[in-house]
Amino acid sequence: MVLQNVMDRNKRKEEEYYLASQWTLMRRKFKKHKLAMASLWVLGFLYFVALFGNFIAPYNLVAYNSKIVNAPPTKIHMFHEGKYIGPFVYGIKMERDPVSKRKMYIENKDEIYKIKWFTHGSEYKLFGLIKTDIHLFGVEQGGVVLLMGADSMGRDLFSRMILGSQVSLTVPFAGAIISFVLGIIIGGIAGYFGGAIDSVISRIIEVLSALPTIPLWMALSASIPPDIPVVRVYLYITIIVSFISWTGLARIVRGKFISMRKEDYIMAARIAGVSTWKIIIKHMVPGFMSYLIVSLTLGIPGMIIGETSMSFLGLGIRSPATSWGVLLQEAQEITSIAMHPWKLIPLFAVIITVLAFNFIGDGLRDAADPYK
Amino acid sequence: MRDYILKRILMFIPTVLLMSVIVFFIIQLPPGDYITSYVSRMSAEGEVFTSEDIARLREQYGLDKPWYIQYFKWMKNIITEGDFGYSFAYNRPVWTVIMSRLPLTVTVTLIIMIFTYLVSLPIGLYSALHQYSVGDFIFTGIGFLGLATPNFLLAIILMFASFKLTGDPLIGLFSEEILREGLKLSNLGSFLKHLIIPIVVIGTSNTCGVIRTIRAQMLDEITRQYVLTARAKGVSENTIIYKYCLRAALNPVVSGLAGSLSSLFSGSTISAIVMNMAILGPVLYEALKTQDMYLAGTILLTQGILVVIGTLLSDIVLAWLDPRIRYAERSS
Amino acid sequence: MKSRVIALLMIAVMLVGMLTGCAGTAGTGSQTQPTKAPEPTKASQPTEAVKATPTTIPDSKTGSTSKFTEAPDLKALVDAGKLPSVEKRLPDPGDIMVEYMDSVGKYGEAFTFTYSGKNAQWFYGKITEEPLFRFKTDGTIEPNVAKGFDVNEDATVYTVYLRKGMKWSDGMPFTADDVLFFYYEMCIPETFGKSLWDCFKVKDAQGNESIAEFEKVDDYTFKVKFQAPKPTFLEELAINGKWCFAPAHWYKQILPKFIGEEEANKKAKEMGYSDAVAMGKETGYYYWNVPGRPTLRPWVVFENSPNNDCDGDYFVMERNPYYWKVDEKGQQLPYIDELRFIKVSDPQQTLLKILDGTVDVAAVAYADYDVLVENMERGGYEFVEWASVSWADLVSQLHLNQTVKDEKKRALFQNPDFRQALSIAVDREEYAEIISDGFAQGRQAAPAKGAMGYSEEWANKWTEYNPEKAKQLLESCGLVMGADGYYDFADGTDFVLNIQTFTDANADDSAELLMKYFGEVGIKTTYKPVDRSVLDNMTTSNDHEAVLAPVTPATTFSIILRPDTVVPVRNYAPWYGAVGNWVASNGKEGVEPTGDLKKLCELYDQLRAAVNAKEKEKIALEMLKLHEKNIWVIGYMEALPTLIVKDKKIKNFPENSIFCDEFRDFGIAHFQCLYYE
Repeated sequence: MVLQNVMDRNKRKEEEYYLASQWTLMRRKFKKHKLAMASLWVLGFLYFVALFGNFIAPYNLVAYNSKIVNAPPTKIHMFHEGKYIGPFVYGIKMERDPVSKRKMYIENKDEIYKIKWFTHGSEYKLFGLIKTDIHLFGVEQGGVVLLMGADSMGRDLFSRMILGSQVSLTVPFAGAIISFVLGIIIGGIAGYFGGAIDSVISRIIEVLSALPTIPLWMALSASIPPDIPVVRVYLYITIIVSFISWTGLARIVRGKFISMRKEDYIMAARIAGVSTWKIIIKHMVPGFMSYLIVSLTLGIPGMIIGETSMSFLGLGIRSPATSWGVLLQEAQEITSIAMHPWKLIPLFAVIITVLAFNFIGDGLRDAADPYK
Repeated sequence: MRDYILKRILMFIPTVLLMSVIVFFIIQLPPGDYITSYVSRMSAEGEVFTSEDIARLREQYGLDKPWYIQYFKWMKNIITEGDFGYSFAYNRPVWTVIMSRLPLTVTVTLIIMIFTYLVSLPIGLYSALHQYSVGDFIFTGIGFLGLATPNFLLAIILMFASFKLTGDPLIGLFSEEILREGLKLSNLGSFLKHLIIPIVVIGTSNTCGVIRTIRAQMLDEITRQYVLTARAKGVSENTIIYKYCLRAALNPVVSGLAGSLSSLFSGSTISAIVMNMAILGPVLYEALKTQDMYLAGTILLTQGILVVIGTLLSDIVLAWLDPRIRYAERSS
Repeated sequence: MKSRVIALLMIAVMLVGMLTGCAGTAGTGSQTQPTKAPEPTKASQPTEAVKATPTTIPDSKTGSTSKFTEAPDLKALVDAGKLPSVEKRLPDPGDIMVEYMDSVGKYGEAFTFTYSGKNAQWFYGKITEEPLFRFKTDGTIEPNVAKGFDVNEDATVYTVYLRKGMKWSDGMPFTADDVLFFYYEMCIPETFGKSLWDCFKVKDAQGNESIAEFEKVDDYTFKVKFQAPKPTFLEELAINGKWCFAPAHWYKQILPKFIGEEEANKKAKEMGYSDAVAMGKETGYYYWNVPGRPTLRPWVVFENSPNNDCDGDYFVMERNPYYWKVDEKGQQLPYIDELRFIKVSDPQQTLLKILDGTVDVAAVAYADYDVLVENMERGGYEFVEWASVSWADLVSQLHLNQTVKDEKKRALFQNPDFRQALSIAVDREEYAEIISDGFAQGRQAAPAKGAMGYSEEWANKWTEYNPEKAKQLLESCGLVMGADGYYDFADGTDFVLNIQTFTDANADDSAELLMKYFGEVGIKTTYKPVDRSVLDNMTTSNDHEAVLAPVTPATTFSIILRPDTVVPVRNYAPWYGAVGNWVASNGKEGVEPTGDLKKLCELYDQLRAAVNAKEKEKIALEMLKLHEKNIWVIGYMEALPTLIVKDKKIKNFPENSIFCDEFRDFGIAHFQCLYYE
């Protein structure tokens, strides 16, 4: 009986396996990839935070405070003079060294500000719709809580990082997708058809990859009127840039296609009368899925970093609008690295995001071939 | 194959010409021209310019004509006399300016490129053959650390760290001694020391891409049926990996070589600025900013030619690597 | 910060001194002590100017007056017979210039700086500059290359005496011919691509402009004659003319006029220039860059030295063996062997090179103060603060273009109430704390304490933070609150204040705060930095609106001598917009001013025509009063003193001074007098 049951179950499992659609199998395989799953959760969390950014961030982007310029992260205490009073912060006092004139921030133990959940703070629109002033956490009136310290204009870096993710997790993604899709399609066409079409597309690729991007950025950012918000300017520029940055991928796709189009199964498909598009998308692209996924997962950090480069050249997003690129660019000074190392924290956000995308890519790659 | 190469060489000239037109057009797209920046610099020094003066200056520099006329004049001089024009800002022939930096640019970029491939090919292979091993994770982690850190930030962190640890921030490619006396055998060590930060900064950002590409490609290839067949036939594992898989896996890396060749010329501009590397990238950047058209144009044109040559070379190598492509070319 | 006040008090003293001095007797070089009676010819001049008279070398210990010593490397060359002896290289003993300084130095070592290549030409240009007359820290001038001068009663004829036996850096004699060559062959034909400087022009009572005439008296004397009185000629020459001589013997070998067009173009190509015109420009103006071009400077660029490319990664200026100054002990200056410049492409590299002790003298940012303090021991440097003369911090002053093209905006910008609203809408205390990291105070754009025209009222005018009153003022200007919470024009169209600046101004933080404050009182504000040249181009074509930076009013200690940021004289400062063009073109182009701006222009005309220095000062003060009344440029924070780090071991470096263009920035430290302990 028991044996029968086990056998039945095995059989059912086997049947399930053979009957299941490719997608189900891929999902299953992906789920087995622990790192990819963990990364998916991390990325999900990051996007969740970005979505509720205005609610989670205790301060907004224009909360300048002259009393905490370049202040280090505040310590969160539980006990005051040995007595438990729950999470709280002390007041911050700025002093200058009388000899060297250096700034120092010390805790003022006379002032206690309790950390509160769901407090009222600056007003904002959740999802751009619901007007509210409730923030996830905050401290009592008069105190400041700086989880990641303050920047050179006395703003909370933690809030800026959270709100910056709204830009950095979306726009580069859009840019990467555009050039990814263009790269596959155009490269695919060139590689699949070959001949004159290939020649023309290859020459276009050559010409485009010789295009200087810096004057293009300069011209673009100069021609966009000042009353358009910088984030939108950045979006436009990203889109335009991604319309010329597909060339690298296209060349590689082309190379791959040339070597694949004479394979037996493609020939077979062709003879069987499968449409060209179907052959490209269904039969050829999966043939080097791994590379494509790698290219996409490398493309996203490329775009995030690209944004920092634009900020470096003075062409990207400008404060008060914030992205991770802006924060990294602000940290790019000896003084920040030596004296205010907390300004480097956003770097870890970028690294975590990039790694998460990559591991998910790994998982997808494994899952893409579920019959293995 | 020979016909194919011949055909490609014939295509070379129209491609480059088209490229030069577009490049020249884009250079002058940003507002203003060289005279604008010249006049602004001079008025900061107390010069008074009337609109007549400015018009005269434009005429003197040949900037009063539309861009295509300027382009034709430039092209004509290049073709008939091999004269690439004068750099406004340097007041030197463009070619002199470029040549003064070219040897170093090529040397440094080649060193970095060789380093990138020397490091990333074995690591990529290792990662693929030992997928999800500790080593794989460590290399992936380091690779992405390098990729995710903006070069300029990494450079400045490393320079500061070097200052804190050794007292010498290792700025630029040369120590003051080399700058004074030139590069000699006796100070080669100091030059190599100064190469560490550029290699780490530019190298890491490139290695990650190559490592991940090789790794993914290898993972694809290893599971192919021909590998199974080869194994079944008793072909040695080394032959399978190195003779068959790796060869196929190199395809995208080789396809990407075209870009690498052009980056020899003016790549990593921002890194070069932050690390004070006296290579062509920053020169191009300055030239673009001040609209020093002939200098920028010549650098970009040369770079474009390198792209075309690089594409041709990489196509030839691709064909050599992959017989299927060879046949495809032949049949088309 | 104490030093700043002291230094500015010195300005106040010197301004009075200078202006009275202009009446006909000019100051003497206090550092060149007169020990011999003036020559009879000069003594017989109607108005005897106190001259920097010929000097012998007083040496209290030995009483010797003719013992000269030189740097060891030059001594070696002399011993090897490759160089004439030091006595033969210096001017006649009586005409040598003696630099008196805190302590007599010793030879050796080098100064290392970072530089950005050719664009930094003014940096090393200024610290090596040798003009005919130079400024002293008290703002008066003293003879430098010139030995002395006389001027006639109505300030129309200046007689300038040169130093006998003085030589160019190639050993050729320097004479009055070189001065006349400069004026007639370089300046007037615009050989170096600059129109004739204002200091050589004069306007008579009828408003007719004429140019100076130069006349050689003998090899070491020349006269400058004007059609109308020019009382401030020498000061203007020190600012505007800077140098007033060129090596005729050298130019006669390369200029088209002397060797023919074809030959000159060939020479130009040999030297790497596209043609003779480019060669004239490069060798004529930025001559200290040019290897082999003889100069009178303490350090020069030799033709055969390996690091002589001013665009190179490493640029070296070497000791001029024919330099014509000595110290009290008869040691030929300069003390320092050479100046070295390491090219950097990013300011952070300079900072690192300061921290590691490579760079010997540099101006630094207050934002880097902490990290500089932290590494002081390691870098072996110390801080020096030099006062600033700017009316306000460069990026904390807003120019509202008085001639902005948009008619509605023009009316608004010309309305003092609007400017007051923009001024009091800002919480200067908070602003200054954030922008300067607490180093500077909030303030109106006004002359620095101690400078001409300073008043506490002006410095504090419209500085009290009052957003409510700002709103009232905006409404009194005819603006109407719109539905979006921002003010609109009376006709219902949107009012947007567009702030512009240039990319490298570091004005982003400042603009961000201003946008916030202006937004809070209901002014919709945008901000867009553009390339410097694009901004300047906008200013020239009057396409600008509200501009942060690029120049502060009074970048100079005297608006009489250098008025272009305070008075519309050319297209330069954004606040007066196209009025500058109107003045420069005598009313042909640009926009005619009205009201107080018109009055300002008229006063400036009077100022230029004024013969009497007292009168000039009176008019200048009146002009400043107009500024005080109108606040055309709104300032939010005071200008910080220039923070300088210098190697601790460098001696004779002035503790107190003023960092401004007239004083040639660092040049006033007289680098030829500096030495290592």
